[in-house]
Amino acid sequence: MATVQLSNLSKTFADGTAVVRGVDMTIPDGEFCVLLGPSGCGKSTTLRMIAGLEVSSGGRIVIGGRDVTDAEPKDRDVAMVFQNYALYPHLTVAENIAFPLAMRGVDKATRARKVREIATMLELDELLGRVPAQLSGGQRQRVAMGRALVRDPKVFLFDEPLSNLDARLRAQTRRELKALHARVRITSVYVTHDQEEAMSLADKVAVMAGGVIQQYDSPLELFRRPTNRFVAGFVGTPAMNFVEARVEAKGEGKGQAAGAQMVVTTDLGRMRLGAGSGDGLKVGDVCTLGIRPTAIDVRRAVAGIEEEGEHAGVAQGVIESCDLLGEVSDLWIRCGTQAVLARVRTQDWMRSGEACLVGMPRAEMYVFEPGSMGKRLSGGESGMSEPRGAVAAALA
Amino acid sequence: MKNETAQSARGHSWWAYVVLLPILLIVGVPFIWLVCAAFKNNADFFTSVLLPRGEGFLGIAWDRITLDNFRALLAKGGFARATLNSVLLSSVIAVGATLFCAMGGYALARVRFAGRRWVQWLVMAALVIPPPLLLAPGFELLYHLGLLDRMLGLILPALAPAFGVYLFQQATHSSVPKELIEAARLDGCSELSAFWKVGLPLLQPMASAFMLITFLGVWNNFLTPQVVMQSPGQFPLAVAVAQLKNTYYQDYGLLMAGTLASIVPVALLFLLLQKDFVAGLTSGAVKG
Repeated sequence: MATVQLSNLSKTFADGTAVVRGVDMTIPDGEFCVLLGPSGCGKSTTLRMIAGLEVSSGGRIVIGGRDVTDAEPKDRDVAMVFQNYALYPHLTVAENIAFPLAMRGVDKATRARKVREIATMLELDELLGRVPAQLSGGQRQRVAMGRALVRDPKVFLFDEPLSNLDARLRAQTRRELKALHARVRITSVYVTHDQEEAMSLADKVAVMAGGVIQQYDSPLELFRRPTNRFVAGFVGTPAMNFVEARVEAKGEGKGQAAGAQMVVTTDLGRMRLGAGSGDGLKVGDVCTLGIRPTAIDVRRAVAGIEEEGEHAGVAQGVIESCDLLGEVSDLWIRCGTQAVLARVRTQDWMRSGEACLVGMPRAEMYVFEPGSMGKRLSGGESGMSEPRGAVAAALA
Repeated sequence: MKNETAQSARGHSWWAYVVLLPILLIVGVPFIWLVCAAFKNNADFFTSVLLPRGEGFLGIAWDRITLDNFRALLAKGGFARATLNSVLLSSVIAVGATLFCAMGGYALARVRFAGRRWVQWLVMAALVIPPPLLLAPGFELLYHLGLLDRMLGLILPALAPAFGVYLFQQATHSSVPKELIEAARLDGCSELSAFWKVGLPLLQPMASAFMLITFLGVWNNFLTPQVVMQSPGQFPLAVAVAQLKNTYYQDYGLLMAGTLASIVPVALLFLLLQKDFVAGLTSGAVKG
């Protein structure tokens, strides 16, 4: 077990493409860290640099206090589970699991004992004599885990190991993986583009984009207090709604009087945000407002919503599409030129073409600087507000 | 549906026979002629096409069938020696070339090193040069190295044919996934042990096929040993058989017996390894 430190780690390919740019992070001993990001964000390259399969262009990698930047993969004491499992097709399950031990000169009797232990732990006892071609996807996944576990490495590396499994098996393997980590507590680095997987597995998540770590935090912090608009949009299902806004009026200077508000105009109409919103913005400035689909209030047009009060604004809209998910529904609502996604508790009247009112609770509003990487200026300060919409439905 | 498939399969096999039978005749008749000629005396060689006609079973004069040609062949001391030379040459080159080509092809496909692209170009360039063109410069090189009339003079130049390197490079691309080698390196393998433990076992079908092709090629090669070897004691079979020809008198029976004796070992080897040979040639053609 070991702490993994990456200092100013970078990778530029021969054609000049910089895929990882100055990554700094410390993964404490025994922690489960997930590198999360869209395709091409540099997460897999970062993982491969930790493994030693990719030579870094700059920076340092320290594992357990030892600088391994230039060390061979075999000398780093890391084990990796590949996306396609990378089991040796000509060897049996037992030989696959024992392979790392054999390569390290471990004697036959110890190898056999360790293989039995691992096989029992991963419920592979019946399969030891089979070759990989005779195994199902889930079984191959477990053998790959066994091969990684058997030599008790300092660090576990996972490169999207669940992406080849079907949804049900993926959920099951995720639970098993979590339980396994709780038992062995080996420092783990896990790469995925699936944010649900990241949120459910990780102690801490590093969200990457453009070769840079955008935020490295606990899953809940990422969700509550995303550092910028990219993280806010990437973390959370369904993704956060964004709308461009211009500041129309604002309370004077710092230390605003209680109740002072920022008023902005948007395509959804005028909105009154809470005190302290949009720190640093002046009248006339452009910003981006964000709200999670689960936080939006949707009422039938005839019912009406109290505009003043807890809502920053209420817009009139028409349901464009309604995706019934069971207890909850995803509504795409057209409000003028802007489309808004809301996840709400399913009600009978919700169908395409139905007029509705869309309420944006003030406590749930986020304000970002303009641009796709715009910094969060406010929002999420009060932690999770009272459950509403889909959250309330889930809790009900 | 099932019947239709079976019917169409039968249809296909019928056509296959129509196409294959004439080919079999074209290939088989000279061979049958050769076998018959090896068992005839010189007089019968000129008077009968296949076996000599007579009063015996099937209208063949069985009493005139003779093993004299083979006896004469064995009586010539050089023939046994030549067989041994051929076995030695073919085996050493087949094993060596397979190993070196596998290593070269694997390295070009899976190991990153400076100048890899240049080496690849060189291999491709070497592929387009006809081997007979290299005889004269090769002869001069061997002369300067003092390797003329020595086994090593035949073995060394044949150890890493460009075609083999190219073949194994392609086979590595299709049969040895990159991730497997990466996994092996993480599991404690060096580049060499990753090749031995993971790369080579996965290349085994291709290796068997290539070994057989090389063995046959060396066994049947006449031109190079004829140029490089000068002492009769060093001749392989192909050259030794050619030496059975006489300037003023041809003992065709002896010549055919020599040819047959030189064919039989490789034919047996081919029949033995046929399955691997076909598997090697089609490896990578079907994914999965």
